[in-house]
Amino acid sequence: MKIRLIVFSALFMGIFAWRWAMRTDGGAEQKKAPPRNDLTIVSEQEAQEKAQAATAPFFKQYGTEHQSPGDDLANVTEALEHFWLLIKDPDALSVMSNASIMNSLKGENPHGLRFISPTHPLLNEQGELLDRWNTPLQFHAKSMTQIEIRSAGPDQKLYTEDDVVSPGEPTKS
Amino acid sequence: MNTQSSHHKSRRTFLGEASCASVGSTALFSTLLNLHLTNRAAAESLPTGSDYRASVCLFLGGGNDSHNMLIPREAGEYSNYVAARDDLALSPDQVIDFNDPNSNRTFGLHSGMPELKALYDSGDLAFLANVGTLVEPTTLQAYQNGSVKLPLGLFSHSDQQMHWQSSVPDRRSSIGWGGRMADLLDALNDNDKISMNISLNGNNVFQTGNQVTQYSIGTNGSTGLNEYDWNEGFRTSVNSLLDYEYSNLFKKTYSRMTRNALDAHAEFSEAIETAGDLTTEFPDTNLGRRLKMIVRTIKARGPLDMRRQTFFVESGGWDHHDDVLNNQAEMLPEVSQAVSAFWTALGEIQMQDQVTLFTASDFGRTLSSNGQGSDHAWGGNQFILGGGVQGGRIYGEYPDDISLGNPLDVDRNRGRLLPTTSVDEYFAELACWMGVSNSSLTDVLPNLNRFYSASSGTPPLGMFAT
Repeated sequence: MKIRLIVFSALFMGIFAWRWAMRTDGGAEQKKAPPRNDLTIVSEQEAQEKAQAATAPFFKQYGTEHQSPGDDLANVTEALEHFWLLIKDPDALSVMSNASIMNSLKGENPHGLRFISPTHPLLNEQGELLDRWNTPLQFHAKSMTQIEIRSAGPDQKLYTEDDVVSPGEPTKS
Repeated sequence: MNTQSSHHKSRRTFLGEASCASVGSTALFSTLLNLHLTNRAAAESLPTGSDYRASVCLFLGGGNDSHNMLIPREAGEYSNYVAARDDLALSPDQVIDFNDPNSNRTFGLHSGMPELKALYDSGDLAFLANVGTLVEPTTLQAYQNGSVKLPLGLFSHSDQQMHWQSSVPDRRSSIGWGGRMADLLDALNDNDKISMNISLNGNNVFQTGNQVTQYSIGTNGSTGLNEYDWNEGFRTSVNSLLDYEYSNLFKKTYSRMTRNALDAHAEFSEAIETAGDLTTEFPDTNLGRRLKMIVRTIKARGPLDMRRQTFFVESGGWDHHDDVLNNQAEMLPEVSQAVSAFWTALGEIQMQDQVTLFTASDFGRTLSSNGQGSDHAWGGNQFILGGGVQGGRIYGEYPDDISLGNPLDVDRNRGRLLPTTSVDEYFAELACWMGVSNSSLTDVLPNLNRFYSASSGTPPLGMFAT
C-alpha cells in the first residue's frame, strides 16, 4: 500500500513539474516574440520606431491619387471595423472627436494596437485625420460601433452638396 | 398594436397563485415570505392620502444645443460666449434677458421662447444648468488623468440617450429610472390593465421597469383593432378566436395579450371620452398634439383610477451638426408654444400643482462651431415646469466662463463642458416629489449615493417647495 502511494505521489509530482516547466517555457517564448507588424502588441519605444519605418496597412493608399475620396473613407471604416474586431470592447474607442478617435487608432487602446501611423502625412498638428482637401474628417457617433464619417469635399465646407459620406456616397445633409 | 398592459395583473396573479402553491412547499413559502416583506416595506414607504402627481419627460432627441437656449449675458461672460461660439453666437437682440436670483447674474433665453420666459417670470419654470451623465463626481484633472470612471459611450447618441433615461451610466441598462419608480409607486394606482407609465412615443428605456412597462398611446388616444369597435361581425369573430382555449403556448400568450390590449383600449377610450376634451388651443404640431393628449389623459385620471403617472414624449431632430441657428430658430419656438399651451391646459383642469414637466436630451453640444453647426458634447441645460417647482431661478452651476479651454472644458479645441450636476441629482428631485421615500431613492437611482446622501435631510437641488 505504501509503495503504491509513493509511486502515485512521484507520478503526480512528475506531471506537476513537467506542466510547470512547460508553462514557464511558454511564458518565456511569449515574451521573446517580437512585434511583426502594426497589429501586434508593442512597447512605446518600439511603436515609435515602427512609426518611422512603416505606415499602417489601412491607410497606405489613403488620400492618394490611386483611389477615390470614397475609398479614403472606406479605409477609415475598415480600420474601425478591425479595431472593434480585435479590441472587442467598443468603449475602448474614444469617440469624442476626430483627434480622440485617431489617438485610439494610433495605439491608445487596451492592447496597444496601432491602426494608423502617428506620422501619417494626413494627420495634422492636432492629431486630426484630414481628407485629401486638407479638412479634418467629421466623425458622427450614432452609437459606439456605428460611426458616420464625413469629408467636407473640395469646397472644404461640411454639409454642402460635395460632401463625401461613408461608405462613399456623396450626400447632402 | 402598441400596448403592454399585463404588467399589473401578472404580478398580482403570481402572488395569488404563489400563496396557494406555498402551502406545501418550504421553498415557495420562503419566497412568498420575502415577497411579502418586500411588498410590505414598499407599502410602508408609499405616500398616504389621495393626491395625484404626474411627471412628464420631454426628451429632446439628438442633443439640444442648449448653450443657445440659455446664454450668459454678464458682460465678460457674454464676450467669452461670443468668442467660443463664433458664427453660432446669438446677438443681444436674439435673446431675452432675465435675472437669476440664485447667482445674481443676468442670462438670456433664446428669443424664440417668450412663452417660457413668461413662465419663468411667474415662478413656474426653472432651469437646471450644466447637467449631464456622470458615474461619480468628476473633476477636469481626474478626467484628464483617467482616474475616474466615465459614462459608457460618452458622446454617442444611443448610449447617452440610454443613460439619461436609465440613470445608470456605468452599464448599459434597458431598465429606466421611471420604470423603477413605477415598480415602487404603481401600488398607489388601482388599475390592473393600464400602466401608470404612458408613452406618446412607443417603447422607451425611461419607463421600462422590472415589473411595470409603458402603455403606448398616440395623439388620438389608445390604439385598438380596426373595425372591432363598430363592426359587430368582426368583433364576434375576434372574440371567438380570443376566447378559444389554445394548447399551444404561443397561441395562448398571443391571445391573452390581445385580449388585455383590447380591454385596456376599451377602458382607456371610455375614460378619455368621459373626461371630455379641452378648450385650450394647442399648436397644430407633433409636440402640441401629443402634449394635448397627455393633459386629456391627466384629466381622465379619475376614471382610470390613477394617483401616480409618468408620461414620455420625444421631440426629435435636435442633432444640429449643420444649420443650428436656423433649425433652432424654428424648433425652440415650437417647444415654447407647445409647453405654454400644456401649462394653460393644466390650468384649465386645475392640475398645475400636480404635474411637473422636465426636459432631457442626449447631451450638450460643442461650444465651438464646426463651420455649420455644433457637435456632440456633454453637460447641457434643461428646464423644469410645474406648480411645485420653485421657479424663476437657475439651479445647478452655470459656468461663469465658457470660453474654449475653460476650467470645465474636456476638449480645449471644441468646448465640451464637464457636467457639474449629475442626472442622478436631477432625477432624485423628481422622484422625491413623486413620492419616493428617502429610503427607496437608491432603488430608483442606484448611482445616487455617489453624489447625494438620502439621509442628509435636504433635497439634492431644492427645486421643489417642501
